[in-house]
Amino acid sequence: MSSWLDIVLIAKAKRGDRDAFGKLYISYLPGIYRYIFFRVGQRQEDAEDLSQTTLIRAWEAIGNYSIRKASFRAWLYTIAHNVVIDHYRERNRHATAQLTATIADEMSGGASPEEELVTNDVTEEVRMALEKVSNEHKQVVILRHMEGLSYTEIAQITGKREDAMRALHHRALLALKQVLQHT
Amino acid sequence: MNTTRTPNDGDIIDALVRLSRVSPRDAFIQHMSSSIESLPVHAFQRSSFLALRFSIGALATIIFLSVSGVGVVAAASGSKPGDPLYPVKKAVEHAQLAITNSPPARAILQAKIAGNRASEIQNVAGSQDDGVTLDTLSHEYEERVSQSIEELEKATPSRDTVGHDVTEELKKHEQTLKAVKTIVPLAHQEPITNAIEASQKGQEAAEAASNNGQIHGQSDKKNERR
Repeated sequence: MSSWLDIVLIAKAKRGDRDAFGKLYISYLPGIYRYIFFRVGQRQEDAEDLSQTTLIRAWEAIGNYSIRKASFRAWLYTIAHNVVIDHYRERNRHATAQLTATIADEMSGGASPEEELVTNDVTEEVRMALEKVSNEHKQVVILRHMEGLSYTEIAQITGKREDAMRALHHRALLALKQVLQHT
Repeated sequence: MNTTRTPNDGDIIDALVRLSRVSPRDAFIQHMSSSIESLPVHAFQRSSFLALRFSIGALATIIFLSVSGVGVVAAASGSKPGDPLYPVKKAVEHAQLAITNSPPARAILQAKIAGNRASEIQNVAGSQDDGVTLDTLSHEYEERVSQSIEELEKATPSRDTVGHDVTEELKKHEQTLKAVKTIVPLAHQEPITNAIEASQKGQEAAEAASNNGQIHGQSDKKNERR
């Protein structure tokens, strides 16, 4: 459910108030960035580019946003989701190979903000395991546990049913566990 | 693995929650903040020219209504979409908004106009509607609720009382809409459900506003992760 402040800012943004839209987007930016970051193989540059694309698309579409259809948060993640899909369509030819290489680079490289968070082995193993499960498994655990979204919101973002998302989440945890067992 | 046992679901979830500490660089956030200023203006945004046209239109409406008399206005108040006097009812609403300047009064007026849409939903739901009118009314209801809350934000000195009044008004709408929902066919219930949700969100927002803008939703986030 959108907060009071969000409702006010959304109403202003729908009438073309860039400042209001900016406040809204910046408040959601960490989550949007993080969602994209983990969806694009943990590549900072791509995550930043696509966060910016999400900003532009959200601004173009804000006039059509309706709180009765989805929370603002779910609406923004839906746009980010579509931006990621478009990104992979464009880069489909070398996505998998590059993804694996990038993770290896990041793990051996300098101290990026993402690497600094690695404080324990399980967290690091899970971070690596995320890149070995399917995209839909990765998506559901990111949205559920990193972004704290409800199953209803996840269903809105993916365009699937809520019970299907619960089942998918269960299978995603199972898939992660299997990857971790074989690490 | 460096752990002595295979991680269970709880371990994995804890690790995922810890990974939510990933965040964008400060420089990137600053870059995004500055790039918002250069976003293009779109057609949906109301220009000052359109605002001027709206004011002139409202003034013309006031003059017309003054000439035609209060009888027409009173007769129009109970009209619904499709009735000959319905445009008069809408014109009166626009005129009222045009001459109401103070945010507290506008917050209450917007809530009352939302109430008009709720009453119309009630009237239309009993007729042979194809669902399109219900959908339009539901959408307008939501817009009015949002605008009422927006006005509430500006009503700084009297936000407590106005917030309470708006909440009470929206509660009445919710009751009306819930009663309507029980008598319409299943196929036409969705717009009514949407309007009920808009009313509930509006009530939550108005209550938050009257409690000095306490923001909801943040505290639930961590719980939802588990």
